[in-house]
Amino acid sequence: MSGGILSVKNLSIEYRVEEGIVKAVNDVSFDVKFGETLGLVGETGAGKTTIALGIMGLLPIPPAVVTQGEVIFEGGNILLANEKHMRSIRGNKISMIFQDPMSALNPSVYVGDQISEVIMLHNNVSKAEARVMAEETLETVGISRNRYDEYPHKFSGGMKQRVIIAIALACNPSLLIADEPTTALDVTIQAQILELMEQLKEKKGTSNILITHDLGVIAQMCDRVAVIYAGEIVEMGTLTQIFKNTAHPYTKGLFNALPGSSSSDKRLKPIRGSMPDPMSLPEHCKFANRCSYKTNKCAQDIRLIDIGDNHLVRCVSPLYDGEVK
Amino acid sequence: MWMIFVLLGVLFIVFVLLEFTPGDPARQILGAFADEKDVAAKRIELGLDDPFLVRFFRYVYNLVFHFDLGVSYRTKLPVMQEIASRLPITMTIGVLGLLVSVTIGLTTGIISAVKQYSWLDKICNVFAVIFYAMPNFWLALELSLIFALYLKWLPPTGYKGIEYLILPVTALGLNGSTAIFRQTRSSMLDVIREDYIRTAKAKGQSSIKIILNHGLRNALMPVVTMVGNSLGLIIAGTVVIESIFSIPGLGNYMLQAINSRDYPVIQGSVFVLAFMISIFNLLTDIVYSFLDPQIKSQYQSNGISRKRRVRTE
Amino acid sequence: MNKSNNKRKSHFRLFVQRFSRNKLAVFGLIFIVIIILAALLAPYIAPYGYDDQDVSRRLTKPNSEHWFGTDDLGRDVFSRMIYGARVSLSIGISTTTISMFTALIIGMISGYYGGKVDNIIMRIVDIFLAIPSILLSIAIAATLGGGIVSMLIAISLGAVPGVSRLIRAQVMAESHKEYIEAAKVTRASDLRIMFKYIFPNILSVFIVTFTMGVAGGILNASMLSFIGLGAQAPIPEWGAMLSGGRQYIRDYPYLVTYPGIMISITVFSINMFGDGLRDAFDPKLKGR
Repeated sequence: MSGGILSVKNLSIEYRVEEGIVKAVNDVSFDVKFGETLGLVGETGAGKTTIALGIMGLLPIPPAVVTQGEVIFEGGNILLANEKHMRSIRGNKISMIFQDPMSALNPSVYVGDQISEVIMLHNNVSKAEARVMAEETLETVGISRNRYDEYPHKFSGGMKQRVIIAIALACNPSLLIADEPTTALDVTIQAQILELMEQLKEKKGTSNILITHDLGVIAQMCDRVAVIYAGEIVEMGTLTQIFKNTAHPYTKGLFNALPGSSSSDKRLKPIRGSMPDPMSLPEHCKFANRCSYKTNKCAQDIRLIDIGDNHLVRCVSPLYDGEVK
Repeated sequence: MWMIFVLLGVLFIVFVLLEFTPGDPARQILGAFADEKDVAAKRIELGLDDPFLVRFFRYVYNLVFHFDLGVSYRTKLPVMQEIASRLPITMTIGVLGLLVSVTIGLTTGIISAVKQYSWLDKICNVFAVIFYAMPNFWLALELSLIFALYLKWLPPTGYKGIEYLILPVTALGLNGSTAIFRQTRSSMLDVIREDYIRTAKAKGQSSIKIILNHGLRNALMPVVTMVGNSLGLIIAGTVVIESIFSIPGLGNYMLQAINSRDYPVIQGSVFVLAFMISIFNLLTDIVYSFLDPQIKSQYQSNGISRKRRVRTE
Repeated sequence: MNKSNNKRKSHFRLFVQRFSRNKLAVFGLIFIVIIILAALLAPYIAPYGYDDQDVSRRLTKPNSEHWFGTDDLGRDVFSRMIYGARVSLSIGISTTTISMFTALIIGMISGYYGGKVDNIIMRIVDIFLAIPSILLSIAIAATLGGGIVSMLIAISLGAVPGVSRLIRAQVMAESHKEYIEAAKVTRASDLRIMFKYIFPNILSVFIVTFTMGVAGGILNASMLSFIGLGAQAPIPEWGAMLSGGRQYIRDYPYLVTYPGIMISITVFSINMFGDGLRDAFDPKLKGR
């Protein structure tokens, strides 16, 4: 199952804190193919951001510890790369943008300079050349190049996020990781930003990892989806497979919890219960205590199984295995 | 401008203090054995029996238009001249002391913040408290003991050249650096947690550049304010330090005046020192507005009116 | 560390736990206790009276009879330092009490009412702040003629402007919180809101500032006494002792060194204790 721009194999990450050990990511494996957008969907605290930070080498190293796994990029395991090598990758070959645009820009530096900074970091160009390139990037994200010399506080949230996207894509990375890029924005702005990201993806052919808890965003933007729960992948497949042939009870629960999904019911259907405490994860299926389909068979350690066409599920009795149950 | 009001206020306070002082200025000037009639005449001449406000405004008027701060009881010389001749030395010591404080405070503060929880951080913290806890005059005395009397590397007292300033400036500087260290460390720690630092890392920027370009620029703002405050403390410190090292500056002069109850001199000195400190605070505000992008862009667009933001920190 | 059942521990025990982890703070506390004991029990533990002069024994270096030697009037330095603890502590605590409560009132009124009242008060405070507090203290002490009483007044007044500002900032921050708005809606009187609601929430800052204020008061007292504006002979204030010993520094440095060390360690301990208190009150602010 290798090939593609990035390959994560058996990644496990823990946080060692005073109160105990938090198992944030547990044996996660996935690939990102060239030019595709992979969605990582799950609740807050499921471990999605930790995976992303792990790939970028941005984990706060104490208290975080990578206990096992590899991240293969450009033929090598970047988990073992030294800091210098990682710095040449960050912002250049793999970029990441974060959730809250309001505070992600340095308030005392011109917006344009912040784009030039990343260009000059990774390319051997003069300040003037970098400026020209930065101005072009601004135009690409829909901001007039005349706004180069303005401070971040003059920009609205949506525009700031555009700047951040500009910074991320300035060096034409082959992979962009976007962690909840539109969650902090208004719905209308959200739509604009997503559209922008679509356009850029088409123009530049960047591969994407899109982290979100919003299924609507997934539907709009992703080619493949991985559903994360309690630090594990519980279901992974193409967009169609996940949406039409939903196999894992948790994924099903997510769909059911959307308002308007079951038009006949008048009440919302949240998934009862909550995620297990990452400091004391059960050995058996971690979703079991909230699952409406629980049986005795669920009391063991569940592995991922392929139910056809690379559609993976971590469940002993998935809701789909060729036919809907 | 606001500053004028503040200075007037300071003058007022100083003047009010004078009101409470015992003794009759006319008698002080003429001496204890002067004749009653002469004293009464002097009182009229000096306008001492006029109402309070009249005297106050006369004082202000004299100061502003004639640079006249009155006459010393002791030496009978004009206060303003005496102060003016001694002011440069005090300001030199003060500014040098401030430079030392800032240098030590900034560097240790940055190192401490970046290497938080390391043994370096802990040592810096402990040293900062040690130097804060030592009264600066005691520190000065001990330094003088070690370097001047025992090791004989530096001269103990007097002022005949730059080397005479090394000990006083060091004592002041070490003492003053603690506040700047604390503030720098605190601001840097705040800044390091900020999201834009994370963005910079995600760009692939190196740690040193991140600290200097992204971190410091934003952390510096409260530090600048603190530096402004520090000068006040350092100037106050020079009062005692000058006396220890027998340096003929304004502080020493003021102390002698205190001992001889020479009130016009005390008044005048306090005011002049407060004035210098206010000017310095003004400069600090200007520097601050260059650092704070929100204020800076207001200047760029308006150019005319200065909208000052009052910081309530 | 085992996962303890935190729900059972009261807030106080948690507080003590957090505090005790800070070794320097504990050291500070221990030393403070020692000083307080020394101050209280001075007449019983000091080998000599603080004013027992024996001119035949003047200026003796530290020996078995006089642990820290004698000063220029033959008085035992060690005993004087113990009595000095009394002086310093009482000055520190009394000046801080006066200044903190004055500043509390000013800060409360300014911060709670805001608007014009706040403006006027703060402008006045700004004027006072233009003069560094030590300078202000010196000026006030000089005016009042010197001596312990004037020193007390001078130090107390000198500290008020700065602390008022601090308290005002805290009160303002609290006043804008929703629970205060809720209290106002129930027509609770302003006084009641201020003391029943706001004060307990700024209490931790108040306590820490008070502690640090005592340290500052001791430092200021020593400085004023050193210049001759504070404690007059024969009162054994540490700063005054320093001043008296200064002329003999070349041959009898202990007269200067020991009192200085006492001041430093005392202020240092109070500071460490205060730091520990601050961290124990709000561990989220740790490291600031």
